[in-house]
Amino acid sequence: MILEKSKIKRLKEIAKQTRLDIINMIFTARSGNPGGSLSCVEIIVVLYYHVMNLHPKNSNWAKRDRFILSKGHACPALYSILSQKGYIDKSELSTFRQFGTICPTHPELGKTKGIDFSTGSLGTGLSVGVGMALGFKYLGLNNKVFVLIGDGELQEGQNWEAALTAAQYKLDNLIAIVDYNKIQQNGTIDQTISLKPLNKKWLAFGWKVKTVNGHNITDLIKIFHSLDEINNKPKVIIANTIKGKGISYMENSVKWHIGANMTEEEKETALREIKKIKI
Amino acid sequence: MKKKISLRKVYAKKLSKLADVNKRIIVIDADSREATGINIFTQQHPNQSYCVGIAEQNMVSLAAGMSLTGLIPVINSYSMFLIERTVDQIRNTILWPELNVKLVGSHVGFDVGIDGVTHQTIEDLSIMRSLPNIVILNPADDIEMEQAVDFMIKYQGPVYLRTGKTKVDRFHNIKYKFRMGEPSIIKQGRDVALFSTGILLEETLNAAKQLEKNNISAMVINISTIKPINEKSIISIVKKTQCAVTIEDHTIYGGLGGAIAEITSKNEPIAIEMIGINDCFGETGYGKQLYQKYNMDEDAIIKAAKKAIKRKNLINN
Repeated sequence: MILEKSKIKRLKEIAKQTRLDIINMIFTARSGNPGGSLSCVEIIVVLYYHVMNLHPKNSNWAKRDRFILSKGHACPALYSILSQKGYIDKSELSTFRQFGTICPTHPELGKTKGIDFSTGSLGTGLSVGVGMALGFKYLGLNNKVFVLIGDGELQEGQNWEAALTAAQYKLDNLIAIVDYNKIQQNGTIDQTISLKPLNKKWLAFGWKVKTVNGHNITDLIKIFHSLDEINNKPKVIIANTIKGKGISYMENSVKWHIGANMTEEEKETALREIKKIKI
Repeated sequence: MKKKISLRKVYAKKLSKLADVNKRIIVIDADSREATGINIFTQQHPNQSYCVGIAEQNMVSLAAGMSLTGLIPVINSYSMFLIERTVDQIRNTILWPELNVKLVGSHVGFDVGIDGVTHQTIEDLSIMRSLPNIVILNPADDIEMEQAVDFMIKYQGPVYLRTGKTKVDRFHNIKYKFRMGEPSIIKQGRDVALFSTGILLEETLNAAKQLEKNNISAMVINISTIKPINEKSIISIVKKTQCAVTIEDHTIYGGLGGAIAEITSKNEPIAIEMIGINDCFGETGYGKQLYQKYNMDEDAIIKAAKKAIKRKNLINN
């Protein structure tokens, strides 16, 4: 597969814009989980701009692939990408988390164009994805379902109930992506409840497992394409990422998981660093 | 006289009949087909049936996702595990987005019997009543159940349907038309209104017949829609009787008793007595044994009716 350099460059520019939007949204809202929003930028960019079958001018298009942001608190990343793709107006981003907004704290089905499910209660998204994938199979449809899950979120048992079901019903139209940034609210994953060995866990549950650098757009595209030839198994991509990626004082920081009350100075530093990212 | 029949079987047979022509109906269970009666459906429609194993939280959210593909998922389990294990998932993945998922709980109240406390769900109505966007149905007999199932499938939105284990009589005649929200008058009366939901309708009717022998004219009203209840219908009944007893195989907190009291206290304050489970757990035993021990049987209803009338007379004098 040949990936055009210009295409990769464009996706990197979109990722850069997404990071700028995330910082501006969270600063204006005075809160908003910057760490976990920044760690999944490239994943969502690649999905929306390369992998998924979508139609921004018709957000209800029946043949579209579905995306569930199971780690719903990372929605600043998704809202930015939806605005760049034309689902919502860019002006809506500055209303994030505010009364009357169409960019609420956690994604809501029916409130924001382009959102395929309401999330926020961790651990539920994969089951929803399984249900969609099962429904599409029953109906003989080719839609795919992508579910982005947080690593701390995998401590919720329901995920594993869903994983068992997906393997049982051979849902090869279901692709889970784990944003493995290794940090949660209380501390690191390993300090809290370790998930290791994560790839072996998914294998044991009957999934096809791939691992990737979650910030390398070229590798992400290749990994997603490599899943097309796998049949009769659900697929998971464990994306190794960095919490707070792109901003020096946020990278690998527990504090910026919640990230309330960002100062003006912190915001300006963040924006400056993002603008300096070389494409 | 018509033979008694188990409502979980009536439900399953009716749903199976509907699925003969409606291929969008999908039954999902959590390894409880025989207990819920839904094996009747799954044997006839194996291609429209999925089991998720003993994983009710997954089942609820899976059904939510499935409904967004245009299918009508009908999820089945013991009410305890269908409703109480899964309140977060029901609320956040079905009710908040108002998805077209049907929840059917087969084992409710002390009627569950010898399976004991862990299986006797006695809080499901109060839990579900407190949640927005849900229709709650508790049909009393086969005539009502068949029509309720029909309604449930046609209705666009979440529905919680209680079925039942123990076989019950028929209380409605063949011409009865179920309408969501509407009570059905099983027996006319003027001195006291006996509002009953579900399995205790037989005890209620027996109590009313005994009260007649004491020259007390009790109206027996079956409430098969716990939410939404047509408030005007309730008000017009209590305006006539000016006192009431509510009877349910459920805690006295927040179920039918709470629903009736909420309506009357805002519109037509009257003396109400509540028959139900009095803030305690049950135990292993058959339904009839538990109703007697925990003051929910015919005798308890008669006492409550007399007390309600006495309180009414005190208020009026």
